[in-house]
Parts: sequence; structure tokens; C-alpha cells
Amino acid sequence: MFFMAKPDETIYASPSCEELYARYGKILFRVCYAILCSKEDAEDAVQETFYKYLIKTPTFRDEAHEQAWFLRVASNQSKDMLRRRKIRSTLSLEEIEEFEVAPEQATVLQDLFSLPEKYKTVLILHYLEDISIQDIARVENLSVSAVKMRLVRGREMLKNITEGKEN
Amino acid sequence: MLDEKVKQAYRKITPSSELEQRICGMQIVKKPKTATLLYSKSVLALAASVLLLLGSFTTVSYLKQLSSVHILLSDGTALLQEEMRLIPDHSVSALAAMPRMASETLEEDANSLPDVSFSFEISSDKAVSLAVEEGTLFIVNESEGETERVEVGQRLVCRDKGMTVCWSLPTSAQNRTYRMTIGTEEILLTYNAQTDEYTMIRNGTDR
Repeated sequence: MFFMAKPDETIYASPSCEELYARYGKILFRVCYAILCSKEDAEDAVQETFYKYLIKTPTFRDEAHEQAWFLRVASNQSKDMLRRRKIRSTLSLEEIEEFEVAPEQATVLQDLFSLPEKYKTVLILHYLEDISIQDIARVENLSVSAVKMRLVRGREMLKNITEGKEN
Repeated sequence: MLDEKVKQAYRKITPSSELEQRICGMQIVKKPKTATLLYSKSVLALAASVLLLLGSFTTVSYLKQLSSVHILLSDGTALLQEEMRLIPDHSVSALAAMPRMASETLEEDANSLPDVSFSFEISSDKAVSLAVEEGTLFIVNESEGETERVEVGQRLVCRDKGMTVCWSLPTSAQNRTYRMTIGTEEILLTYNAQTDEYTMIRNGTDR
């Protein structure tokens, strides 16, 4: 019921599919890409997210509510696809550099994407997509303290990977 | 560690322009309640005329990958029964036999109908997007007894289990070649009216 607007609340009129894609297409793709480590699968996950939007036609309280819905559906879709996969793929530096990312930053992103899904998702949403801890908690269906814990552990794991490479 | 430079680099990760076209072109087509419309001979004759005007080959682009496809001719002969790329999430299973309604729809008036039709059944819960560049597709929902016609330039998303897609092509000339693309696979079908034989070429390989 989290995504249902209450009856006495003003219903936020969602824009067209084109506008929604312009608003959320890239962020959804990046989050799906980080989870799935595959450009093609990430695009399929984003398409499926928009398809669910068209089918379900959910109503939202405001833009933040709308963004949370899209992120949650895209994230769950990607995790479902990941579970069905028999072989877990990892991203090579070359694949990341295809997006014209400098080698130094590509290495950091590769390390980040190699983290377990539950840690990298919260790290990406918070540090790279600037989403608040409270909103991440709603997207990921977690408590605020659980999100904070994942951020701490995720940072530690990323630090260990980076330091391990340096040593 | 995750500083501004990394954030800027991360934001360079962007989808292809094709994704925008796929999503912005999506529409949910509601099946008409007056499904008997397409059963009348006059409408079928009109559809066949439009097909002939539109040209000799049809391209059907599946924006989702198919897991397996059986293509059957209108007489029930299997033309292609082959596993396509297996992506479980986007499964479209094989058609065991030509559905009765599809056969009746297309064979009601042989003179006014295209000579060749292909069909396959969508039996997945997942969406399959279809885009028609030329020709006509008939989407038949056997369980509900409804038929949807997909016009040129229209793109729709099929989701219902048991839906059958009939791809109808004119073969008025002696020899015709038709083209269909499924994902990245291209299938060329050549019909020789003199020998009444079909040749299937898929990605440059004779079948």
C-alpha cells in the first residue's frame, strides 16, 4: 500500500511516457546496469519497468513518490533478472570505458559494481544519485538504520578492495 | 573514494537511443469488443488489398528476445522449428498446432486472403513488443474470441497468455522473398510458386 495515494490527498498528475523517460530513463538505466552488469539486460529491465507503469497506471502523491516507485520497480526487476541468471557476470574495465569514462574512474566504478548487490545499490543511490537515506529506505523496503548499516559496510568493503589492489 | 569525479564518470553511463524509442513507442492496445469485424469477407478483402498495395515483404521486429519460435504455414506445415536465443525472462513458447480460430480467420475466404501466413503463440507472462513496418499482423486472443489488427507504424505490447500472432503475406507474384527479424536474427523466406517450395535463409545460412 506504500505506493497508493490516500483518498484525501491531492493526486499528482503524472506526465506522459516521453516526459517520464526523460526524467527517469537514465537514472533507472544506471541503477539497473550497476546491478546487472550488462547493458542489454539493463535496458530490458528499464523497458519492463515502464511497461509495468503503463499496465498498472499507479497514482502518486508527488514527484518524489513517483521517483521512488520507478526506482523500486526497476531495482526489483533487476534483482529478479539477476536471480534467474545462472552465471553472474562482472564488468570489465573496457566495458565501462565504452561510456567514455576515464580509466582511473572506471577502476573505481568497476570495484563498486563488484560489490554484493545489497551494498552497491545503497552506495550508488546515496553517493552517486544523491538520494536521501530515508528515500532509499522506502525504495529498498528497509529501515533507515539498515540503510545506514549497509552504507557503512559497503564503504568498508569498497575500501578493502581498493587497498587490496594498491598493496 | 566516491568523489565528484567518480560521480561525473558514473553519470556518463547512459542507455542507447534505441531504448528511448522502445519505451516512448509503447502503448497498450485494448482489444476491441466487436471482434467479429475482421471476420467479414469485405474487411478481409480490404485487408488483403492493403497488403498487396503495401508491398511484397513484411518486417516484424520483436523488441524483446524470443526463447523459441515455431513458424507454421497456413496449411499447418512446419517451416521453422528452432530454439532461438534463450532468455528465460522473455520467454515465448512454441506453438504446438495452428490455433483453430486463427485458421478460420485466415481461411474464411481463400480468394481474398494472402497465400502465406505464419503464426506463433505468446504464452509468456512477460511483455512482447511488436512493431509493424509493412504488412499486417493479426493478433488473435483465442480464449476471449477477440482479434486485433495491427496497422503499419503501430507498435503494441502483447502480454496475454494464449495470444496468437498471425503474420500474413501476399504471394501473388511467382517468386517472392519476405523478411522477418526476431531480435537480431534476420529470416529471409523465398517462395517459388512454380515448384511450390519455400526456402528459408536465416542469417545467411540456407535451411
